[in-house]
Amino acid sequence: MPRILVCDDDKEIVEAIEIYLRHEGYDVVCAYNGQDALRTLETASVQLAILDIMMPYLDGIRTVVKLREMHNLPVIFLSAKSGDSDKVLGLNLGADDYVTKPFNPLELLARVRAQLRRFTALGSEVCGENVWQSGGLKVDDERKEVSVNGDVIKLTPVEYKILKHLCANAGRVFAIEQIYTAVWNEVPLSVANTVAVHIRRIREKIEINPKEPKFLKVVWGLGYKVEKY
Amino acid sequence: MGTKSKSIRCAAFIALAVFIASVGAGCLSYGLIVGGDFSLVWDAPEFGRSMRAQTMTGQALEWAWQLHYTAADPVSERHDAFKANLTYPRPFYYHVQEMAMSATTNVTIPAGETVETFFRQLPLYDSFTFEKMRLVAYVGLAEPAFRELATAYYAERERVFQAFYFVVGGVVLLLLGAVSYAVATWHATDVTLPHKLLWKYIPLDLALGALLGLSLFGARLMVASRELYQGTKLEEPLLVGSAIGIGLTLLGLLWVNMTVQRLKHGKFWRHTLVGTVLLWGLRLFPMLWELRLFSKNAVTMQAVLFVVYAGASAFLVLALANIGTVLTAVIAFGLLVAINVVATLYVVSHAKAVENMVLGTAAIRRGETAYFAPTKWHKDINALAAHVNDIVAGLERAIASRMKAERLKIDLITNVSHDLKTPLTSLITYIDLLRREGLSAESAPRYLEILAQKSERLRILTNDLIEAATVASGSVAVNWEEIHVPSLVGQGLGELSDRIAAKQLDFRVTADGEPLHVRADGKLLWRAVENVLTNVLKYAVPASRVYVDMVSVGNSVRLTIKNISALPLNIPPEELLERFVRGDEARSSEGSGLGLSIAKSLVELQQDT
Repeated sequence: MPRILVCDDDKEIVEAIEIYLRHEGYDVVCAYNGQDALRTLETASVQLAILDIMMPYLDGIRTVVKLREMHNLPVIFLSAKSGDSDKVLGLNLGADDYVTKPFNPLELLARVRAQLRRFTALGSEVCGENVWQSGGLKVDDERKEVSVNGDVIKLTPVEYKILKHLCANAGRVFAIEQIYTAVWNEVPLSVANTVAVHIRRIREKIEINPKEPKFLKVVWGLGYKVEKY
Repeated sequence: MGTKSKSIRCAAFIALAVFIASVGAGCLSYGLIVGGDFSLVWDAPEFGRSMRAQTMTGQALEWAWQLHYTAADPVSERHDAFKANLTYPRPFYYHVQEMAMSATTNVTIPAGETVETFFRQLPLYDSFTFEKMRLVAYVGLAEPAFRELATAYYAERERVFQAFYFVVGGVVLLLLGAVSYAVATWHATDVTLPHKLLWKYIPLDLALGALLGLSLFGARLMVASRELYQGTKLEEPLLVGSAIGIGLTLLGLLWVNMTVQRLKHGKFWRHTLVGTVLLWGLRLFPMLWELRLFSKNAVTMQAVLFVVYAGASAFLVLALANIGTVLTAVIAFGLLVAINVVATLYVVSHAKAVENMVLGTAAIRRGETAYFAPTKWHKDINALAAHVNDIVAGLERAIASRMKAERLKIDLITNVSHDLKTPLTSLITYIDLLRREGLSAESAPRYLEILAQKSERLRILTNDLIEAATVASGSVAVNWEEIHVPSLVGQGLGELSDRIAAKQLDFRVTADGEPLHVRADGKLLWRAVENVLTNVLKYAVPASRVYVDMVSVGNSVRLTIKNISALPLNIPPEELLERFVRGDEARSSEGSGLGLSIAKSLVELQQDT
């Protein structure tokens, strides 16, 4: 079973996370500051790290920077800092995911699962033609199939068309009218809600936390896009 | 060597100096009194010429004058009368000829000799001619009389020379004594002790003047005393004169003492009239200067400068109009050009300085920090620049302290949010663990459900509170984009479609006019709109209509959302936007009371200049 490093200066939180993870069947090692975490990583084989940012001695950001010099394993930040700039900083410096406190335990578990699956199972899949991949999201037009981190997702035809259109042009922002024209092949007339509702439904199906989407993102006042990885 | 022996040697030296000076003064007095008239010293050493000039000439002239006065009388009578008046003691010859008549005294002119040849052979003679009266007078001295007079003259000369040596020696001794005294006093003066002020309020230079005046007066008296006593019985004037001379010398030494002491103390000038006047002048002059030109106003200065310039110009123009020669015309024209060039340069440099100030203050108004260097010529601009510099410095300080306060506020929010969220995380996770694993009590699931609900509510409240604080502090980065408002509203309604459907609300969206784009941060604007829409979802009457109107107003879009409140609203509209104000006074519904306040702050945050 994969071993997970949990590091937070609040012992109760570490313990709670440990309980959840053990319940799911993971092996867990604990640390209470950045130095501890790095030391543990040197001795034990660890497949994923959950790090707090505000910690004594060595904070999470510096820990990740040092960790990235030696190891290649997914890191999830777990922080009370919820500002956009904090998230951008954490992700840019080498973290793979960012969960804010107070967190939903189920969401954390889902993210842990997703990261582990990508790390262990989906390391290097070659994309065929008419297969688009973005992060853990994969749209296979051959089989008309959508999967997230390996799990096949069931979508309605319209939802599938929208997602395929966005994935085929990953990174590009599509206005609501453009999506409507492409998917419905009709002239759009006050269709904001229709497209928006479909998009929300897709997000609810493919995202771990639909309120903080990772794959299908809203560009407010402009349209929607699928991140290009 | 001890100080005592030093002071004794000083005292002895001073006494010697005083003695020498006194002896000098005595000698000088003696010489002056005995010598009387010193003209003999630098007069011709030969008797003949001197006699002619000094004695005989005067006498003969007097005689001739008297003759002239009595011109009305016959010559013989006049001559006889005049002869009787002659008091000259020694034998001499006298001959006067007026018109045809002539008169002679003691003269027997040998035959075959003219009057002139007779007088020429005498050792001393003189002749006078008065053209108007056709009068010729001859005065001559016989050999024995001449010798007697010459002997007396040389004796007198000898005496005067002796007196003169006394005078010179006296002056030398006096100076020697004074200088020695000054040197001794200089060495005896101790700077650490306060100097003895014998005359504190009499300035030194004034005292010196008075002393010199007195000395000159005394010397004149001494010189005159010989004439007064007719060269005899000089004991009395000698005694008095020496006393006066020595007294004046002692006074002079006192002056030397004072002066030397003050010189050594470095306070000489302060005790002189000249120094005092100069000092007062030096103090007074800058005061006047300051009063007149700088502290009063720069306008006076400018006016003075302009009057000088205008006056000089007018004078030179007048001069040019009246001047005849080419050279002076060229000079006047050159000067006129020169002063106008100087005036132009001055005006231009002043205007430049003003322009510099205008540009600099404009930069300051834009928010840059600019400081002004002082100009070389323009005091008024310098004062203005100094004041502006002060204002800018104050502004910089205020901005710096404001930035610091802002940073502290952000740090505070970060720390508080961390400290609130960490225990909340434990709370939520452990409640969730309890719900999974269960408690043995019968009603435990119900209690745990309540705990879960309340901790969730606490979580929402905390997040809202931190967001409200962050947004209100203005420490949120704004990414400016062109936002299409109807799209944003449509996306939002799509996001909320489930909750809208659950409440059976009927949204009526209208968009009016073009353009419906605004410059804003899409994410922040959405959060503002979302808060308002969530507010609608919470408080609107179920199954009622909600109107969303977008109207293009110039550069902006007015977004209006109207709904019917489920609860009676007894609150002024502005107050609804305050923090923690909620429509339901019982505060029983979900929500933190921060939604609209955050929305307001978010919109304010995106209000560009």
